[in-house]
Amino acid sequence: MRPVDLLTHPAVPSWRWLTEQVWSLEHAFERSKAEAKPEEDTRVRIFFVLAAFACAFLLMIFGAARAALFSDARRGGFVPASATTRADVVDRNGMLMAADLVHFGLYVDPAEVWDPAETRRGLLSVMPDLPYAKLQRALNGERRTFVAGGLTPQQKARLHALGLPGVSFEEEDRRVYPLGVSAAHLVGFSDSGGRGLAGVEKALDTSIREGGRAGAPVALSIDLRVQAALENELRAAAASQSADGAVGIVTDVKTGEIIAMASWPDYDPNAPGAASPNAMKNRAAAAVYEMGSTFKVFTVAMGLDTGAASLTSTFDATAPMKIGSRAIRDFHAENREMTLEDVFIHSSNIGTSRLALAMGEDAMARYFGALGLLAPAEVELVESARPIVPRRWNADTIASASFGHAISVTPLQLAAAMGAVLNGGEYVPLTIRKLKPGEAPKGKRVVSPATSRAMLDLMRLNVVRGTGSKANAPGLRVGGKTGSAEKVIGGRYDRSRLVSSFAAVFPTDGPIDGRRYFVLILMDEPKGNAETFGLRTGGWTTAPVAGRVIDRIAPFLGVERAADPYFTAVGDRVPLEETQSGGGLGQ
Amino acid sequence: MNPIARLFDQRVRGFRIIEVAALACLVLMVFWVYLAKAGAGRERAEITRIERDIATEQKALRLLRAEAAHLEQPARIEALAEQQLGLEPVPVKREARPESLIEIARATGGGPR
Repeated sequence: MRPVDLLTHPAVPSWRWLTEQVWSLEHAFERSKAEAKPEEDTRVRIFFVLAAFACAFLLMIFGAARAALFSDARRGGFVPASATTRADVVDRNGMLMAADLVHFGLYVDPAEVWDPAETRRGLLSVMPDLPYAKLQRALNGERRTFVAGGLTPQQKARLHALGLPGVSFEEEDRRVYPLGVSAAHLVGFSDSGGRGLAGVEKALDTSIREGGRAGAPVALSIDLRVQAALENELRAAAASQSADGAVGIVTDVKTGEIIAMASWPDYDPNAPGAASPNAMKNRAAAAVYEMGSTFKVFTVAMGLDTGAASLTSTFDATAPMKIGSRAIRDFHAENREMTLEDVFIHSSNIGTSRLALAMGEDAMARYFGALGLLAPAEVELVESARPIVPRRWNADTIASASFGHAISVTPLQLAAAMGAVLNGGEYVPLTIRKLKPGEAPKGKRVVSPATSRAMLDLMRLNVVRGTGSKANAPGLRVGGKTGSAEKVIGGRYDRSRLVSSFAAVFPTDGPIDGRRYFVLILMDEPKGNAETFGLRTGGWTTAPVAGRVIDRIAPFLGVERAADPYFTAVGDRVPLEETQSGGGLGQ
Repeated sequence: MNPIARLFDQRVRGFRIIEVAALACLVLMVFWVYLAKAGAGRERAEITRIERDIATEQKALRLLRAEAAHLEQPARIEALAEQQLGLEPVPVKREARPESLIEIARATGGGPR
């Protein structure tokens, strides 16, 4: 039966026809033998084998053509979608601070370029700032050359739309800091090869690279809202005081987490090459200052902790104190016997010097060491600088150090040491990493909880009726200590150039191991203005800034306004209080 | 003759049944393997395409997240709120907590009667 018959006999199943064909093929050998034509048998078999091979080849041709035309192979395999060179850096609430974004490198292959002049014109019309000489070299060269990197997807699309032959693009990761100058010193920056060079980018380089491979962000201890408020106030104050530089730090004294850290002047980490070294310096970590009277917090704490003095001990401040040929004076001389409380509140250099001498060199050096004031601040940042400490401790140097002279430390060291005095008495290293909720690192005990409590109360008193009154944010129970150190210019203290600072803590009440925040505001050479009556000391320049910062950041940190024995929750003075009026001068 | 030997000996038009059955089995299996491989290939291509789409979308997402971070930065929002909307910080005396609302209402003469 032939295939044609099938059409006319639809009832005959097709498998029967197939069987008959196979059957006739199978019997061809016998048939040809019977018909005495053996050559025909061979011919049939050769035909059969050829036909089979032809079919196979046809199939393969079809397959190959399909693979060539419709395959996905040339579009590249699968790459993990979230993998980048460096991980995202986010703040403690997950807000983005640094990210790798896809940019494009521009390449020119002169062998494929039709018209170099037109290509050059086209490229420059879209990107006028292309390096002309480099482009010219690439167009006249012999092989495919890199011309420019960091093209945004929009720029690439516009160049691509020109349809210039010989112009191609390659993907590259580029580090972007969407916040610009905000937290610039803290975040730092990395090079185009993906290596961290400064700030967090350098300090946490390994974690950031690992995070990039895993697609997991690196969380910092920073709270961007606190950071923004701090920067905003610091910038405004530094500009109005025409300061040379300024530093702001907010830390959690319990955990050592740095909640905000600002240095002024600032720079844009998206273009670090355009910034001056002065602007790029992280003054919070890399600059050392003689801090002045904020050190009295340490001296008084040591005095209380060693038992060398109590709050009611008296010190003779009737006249300048002589050590060798040197006379130590008070900035605002009271010329009277003072209790330790008065020494602190009136910021008496004579009083703290007498206390330091009573404790002796060894005790002072031991406490300074335990407070981390004699070594670089323990923090991940590589910028953390070495302090300048006296070569040897003697009567002269310990008297000076008792009110923050003769020893230069970084603002971060001061923040860590203050944390130890104010958190119940344990030194906790600072960190820029976000700790898990409830995680509190074990610290080294420096002073007793009772001493810590006494210092919190003293600092509160200093704001209520001492030199720090301008830092009193309503209802937030702020405590603090002013500092105004004369700078050493040409080996001599220059009375007109000050480093003014204010070390604040809030809230000062509540349990000794409760949540508490330290705020440091420091200004390098404030010039004074009409608002401060030309005064440059900490009580006038930095204390108000600290107060405004605390007022703004308290809601973010979950500190609510409340009354204390001195002020109501809205900042009205509680009557019937034997107060001396505040607003004095800080030395 | 036992049944197994008979099975090997039975023929249809000169072919051993067992051989025909084995051949049919073989053809079926080859066909099945072909189908499975072709199906798997198609699925793989689909997976690759979707994964590529995910990668593209994630790149776009990263870009948008960075843009949002830039636009949402507190300093910028603050400046906009002050300049465009004329907003300013709430004075301390006008801050209130929900618990103190009754007291405030009493103090201002409009408390519950």
